[in-house]
Amino acid sequence: MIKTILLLIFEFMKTGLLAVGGGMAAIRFLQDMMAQYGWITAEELANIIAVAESTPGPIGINAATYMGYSVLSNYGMGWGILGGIITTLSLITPQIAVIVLVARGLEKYRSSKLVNDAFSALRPAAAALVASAGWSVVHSTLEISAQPLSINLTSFIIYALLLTAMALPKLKKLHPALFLLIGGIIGILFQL
Amino acid sequence: MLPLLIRELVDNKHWCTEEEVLDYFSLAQCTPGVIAINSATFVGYKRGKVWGGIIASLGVVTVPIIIITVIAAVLQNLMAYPLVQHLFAGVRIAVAALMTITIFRLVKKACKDGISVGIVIVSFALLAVLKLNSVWLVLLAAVFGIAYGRWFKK
Repeated sequence: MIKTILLLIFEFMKTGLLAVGGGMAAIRFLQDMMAQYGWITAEELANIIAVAESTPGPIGINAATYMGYSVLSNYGMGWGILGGIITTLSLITPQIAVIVLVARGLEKYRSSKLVNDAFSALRPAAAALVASAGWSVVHSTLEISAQPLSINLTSFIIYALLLTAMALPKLKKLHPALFLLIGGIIGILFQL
Repeated sequence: MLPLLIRELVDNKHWCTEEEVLDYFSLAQCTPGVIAINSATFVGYKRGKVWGGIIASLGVVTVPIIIITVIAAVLQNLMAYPLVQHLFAGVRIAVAALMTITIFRLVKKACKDGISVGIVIVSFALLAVLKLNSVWLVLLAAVFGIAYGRWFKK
């Protein structure tokens, strides 16, 4: 267990230090952890994202707390609570350190050619991080497989309908949690 | 989040000017990690140096930690019920749709010129097809950006 805790601290500090593009990009780092350590399943991670998106508070923080709880709650609820605190603090510590350093040399950082050059490539890379995180979720949720080519048709139809609804100009402004609720109701009605 | 920050920090508490808040917010996006934490650390640092930054960030995470821990503990017990399993099966599909929308918006915003379109495509291929670790992609992109700026941009 001590090893798991140390790994969680290490992985979440790494995420806090390198996840450019905010909390959504951090989701891709969580998927890396999932692939490397098998701490949670793809389904559990999708549930974590769902709760993180529909609860007030930054998505990255919500997801980090939930992941820490999920991984350590195998040892009991007390450990789960501690796990959520550990992962969240590990996530924010390097960030606070970076910002304090940046704030000290604010003008230098802002006008640094090195920083601006790096971020002109990091911004599109961050979009790709979010895109690949989303693609993994779509992939596992719709049970897409390449060989033989197949997809869960029921899930796909619901996905396509929800996607269309979300893109409609009149519905676009609604709170995302509302769509998650609609998805949940559909799930219960169709016994998914 | 931004309108809320301006109302509290500028109008109610007079801790910083509106320009400063906007500036911190845009800088928070040009630094790694969760944007809310970065903005909070900037404001906290301005008011109370290092401890101010630490305390402001702890303030941001305290309530989410409590809420999420409660939800996680409750859900863990509820997941045994088929009704809740069906509910979450549906919610996961909605999450997939929601993330698709976010991706379209972000990618559209990121594709400003030929080179950024190229970076998005190559990065996505590295991540999704070759399953490259995120850490390597971020480092690779930073190095590429610096090298490109140094040798190819006038």
